[in-house]
Amino acid sequence: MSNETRPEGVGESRLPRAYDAEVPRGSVFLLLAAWVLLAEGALILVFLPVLTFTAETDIPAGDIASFGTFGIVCLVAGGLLYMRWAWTWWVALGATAATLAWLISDRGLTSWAEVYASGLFAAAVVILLVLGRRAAGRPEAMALASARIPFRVKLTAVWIAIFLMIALFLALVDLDTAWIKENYEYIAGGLLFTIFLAIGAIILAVVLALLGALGRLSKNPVAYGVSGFYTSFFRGTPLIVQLFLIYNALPQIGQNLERISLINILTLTAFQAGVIGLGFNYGAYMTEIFRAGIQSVGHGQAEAADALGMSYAQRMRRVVLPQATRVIIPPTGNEFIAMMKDTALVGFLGVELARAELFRRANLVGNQDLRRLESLIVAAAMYWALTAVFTYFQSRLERRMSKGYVRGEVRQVTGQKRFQFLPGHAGGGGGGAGGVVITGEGEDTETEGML
Amino acid sequence: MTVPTGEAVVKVEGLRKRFGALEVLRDIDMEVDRGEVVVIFGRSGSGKSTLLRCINFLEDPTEGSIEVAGIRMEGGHRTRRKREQIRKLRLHAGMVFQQFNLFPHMTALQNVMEGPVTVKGMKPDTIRPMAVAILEKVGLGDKADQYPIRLSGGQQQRVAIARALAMEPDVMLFDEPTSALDPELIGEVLTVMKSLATDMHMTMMVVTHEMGFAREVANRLCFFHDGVILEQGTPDELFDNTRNPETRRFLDAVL
Repeated sequence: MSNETRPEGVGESRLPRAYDAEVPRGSVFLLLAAWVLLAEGALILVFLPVLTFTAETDIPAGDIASFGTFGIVCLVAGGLLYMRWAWTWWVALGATAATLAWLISDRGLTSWAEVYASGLFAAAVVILLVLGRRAAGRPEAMALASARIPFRVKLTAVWIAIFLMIALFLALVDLDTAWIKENYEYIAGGLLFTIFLAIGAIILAVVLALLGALGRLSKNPVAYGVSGFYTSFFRGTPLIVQLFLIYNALPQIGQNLERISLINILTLTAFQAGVIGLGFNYGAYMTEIFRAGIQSVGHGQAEAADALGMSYAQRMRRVVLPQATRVIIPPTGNEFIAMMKDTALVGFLGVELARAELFRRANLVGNQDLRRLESLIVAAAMYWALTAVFTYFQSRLERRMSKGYVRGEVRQVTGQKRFQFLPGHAGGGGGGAGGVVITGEGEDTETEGML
Repeated sequence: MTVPTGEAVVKVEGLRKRFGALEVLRDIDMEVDRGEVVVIFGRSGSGKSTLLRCINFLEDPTEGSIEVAGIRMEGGHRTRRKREQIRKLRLHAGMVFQQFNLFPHMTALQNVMEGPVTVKGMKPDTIRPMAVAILEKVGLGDKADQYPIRLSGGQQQRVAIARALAMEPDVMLFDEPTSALDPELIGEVLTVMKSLATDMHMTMMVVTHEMGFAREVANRLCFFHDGVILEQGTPDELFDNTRNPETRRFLDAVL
C-alpha cells in the first residue's frame, strides 16, 4: 500500500478514499435517524399492551388504536429512509412531529416522565434528520455509512436498547423501589455465602475430578471401579436429591443406630452440606473433562517421560498434567459458572437465617412482604452480575492461554517460569480454537470486555 | 569408526516378544560392546523398533532377559519390584524417538534439564552449565530459550538427543531418528549422531535406513527379518559381500 493512499484516514475509516468522496456528509446522521425511528416504532408497539394494562384509568379503544398506528407510522417512516426517494425525508419528519404531538396531548400519556422520554426521542430524530438532509434518498450512501460504524458500536447500541426496554418495562409495572432499597442489603449479604459456597465446592470438585480421572485411566480395577461408581452415582441422580440426602437424611443413620456422637457428626450445616453436595456432583461431571484433558496429551509424551526414568507421579506432575491443564481450564471455568448458579439449590436446605445464601434470602424477604417480583429480580440480577464477572475473567484467561500459541517468538521467554502454555504436537485439538481467537483479536477483545 | 572395547553394555538373551498371537521377536541374542555403534535395519514390521523398545522396557519382553550396564532384568509380567528396577535400568539407556516427543511446555534448555532435575534430583543451578554445554554440542546453544514449536524438525530432534545425553546414559537407542524429518533436515541430525560416535565414543543402537550413515559410522550392521537377526556383520561384509538373497534384495531396494 502506498503512503499517500490514506495518510490521515487510518484511524477513522476502513474504506478507501475514493468512496469517501461519494458519501454525503450527513449519511451517518440519516442512518441514525432511521434507527431511532425504527426503535421508537418498535418500543411503541411492544409497550402498547403493557401500557394498556398498567394505566390507572382505562384507555379508550380509539386511543389504543391511534397509538398503535403511530407505532406503525414510525416503523414505516424509519424503513422508508432506506429507500431511494428524497420525499421519504419529509415523511419521517412528519411522522415524528405527529407522534410527538399526539403523545403530548394529555390523553396519550400517563406521566411526565413519558412526556420527557418521547420529547427526547422526537428531538433526537429531528436533529438527526436535519443533519442528514443531504443524504436523503441515497440508500447506497447509508449502506456505506453503516459499514463505517464498527460492529462493536452497533452491538453496544443493541445492548443499550435492550436494557432501556427492560428499564421501561420495570418502570411501567410499578416495582416497589423503596422496598428494594430497604431489602437490597440483606439479600446482597447472601452473595458472600454464594461465592464461598461456589469456591469451596469447586476446590473439592477439582480434587475429586483429578482423582476420578486418574482412576478412570488406571489399570487398577479398584481405582477404575471406585471412580466409575462415583461418576455413575453422582451423574445419575439429581443434585437436589443428593443435597437433601446429605443434609436431611444422613443424620438419620445416627438415629437408627442410636449413637448420639454419630448424629452429631452427620448433622451438617447447610453450608457444609452444600459444599459437599455441589463438590461431589460437579466433581463427577468434571471427571470426564479431566480424563479427556489428560488423554489429549499424546502417548509419545508419556513414553518420553518413561524413557527418562520418571515415575508415574513425576510423569503426571511434570509432563502430562501441565499440558492437560491447557485443555482442562476452559471447560472447568464453564462448570464453575454453572455451579455458581446451582448454589441456589442450597437455599432449600437449612434454617439459619444469618448464614443463608442469596436465593434463600430473596425468598425469605420476598415471601414475607409479598414482594416476590422485586426480590427475585434483585436475586437474578445479582447472580447474573456474578456470572458476568467470572465469564469476563474466564474469557481473559482463555485468551491468555491461547496467546501462548503465538507469543513464543514475540516475547523473549526468560526461563524463570517453569510452565508456559504452548501447544504440543499431541494437543493439536486446541489449535483450531486458538487460531480463531488470534484472528479475531482486534475486535473480540473489546466486545467481550463490554459484555 | 570407533574401536569397541570388548566390554558388553547391552546383553540380550533369548528375547521373545508376542503381541497376542503375533510373535514380533523370535529368540533374539545380541551383545553390544561399550563404544560400539550397531545399526539395525530391515523391513517395516520386522521387529527392529520393538527390540529397542524392549531394551528399555517401553515394551515388556514376553520371554528372555535384558541386561543394560550390569542391570539384568527378566522378561514376563511386570511386578512392583520390577518397576523400580526398570526405572534404574532406564537411567542407563537414553532413547531418541522418531517423533522427537519433546515436552512442548518447556524450552529447549528445560527439556534437557528435566531428566537430571526431576529424575536424578540434581539442582537446576548445578545442571544448567552442563545442559547448555550439551545444547552447544548439538549446535543449538542459541536456541536454549526457545519452545519446541519454534524449532524445525531437525532442531527438535537434536534437542531430543541432548535431552537423552543429559542423563549420561551408557547406551543411546535411536528409533528411526530421521524418518519424520524433511530430507534437507536429515543431515544435521546425522552429523550430530556421527559426532557422538566419533568424539564421545558413545555406545549406540540405531534403527535407521540411512545406509550412508551406516557405512560411515557403524561397527556392525544387523539385518532384521521376521523377528530374527537374519544376518549381521561389518558394513563391508553386508553391503558388498552378502550371500543372503533376502538381505541383498532389501539393500538393493534402499541403496
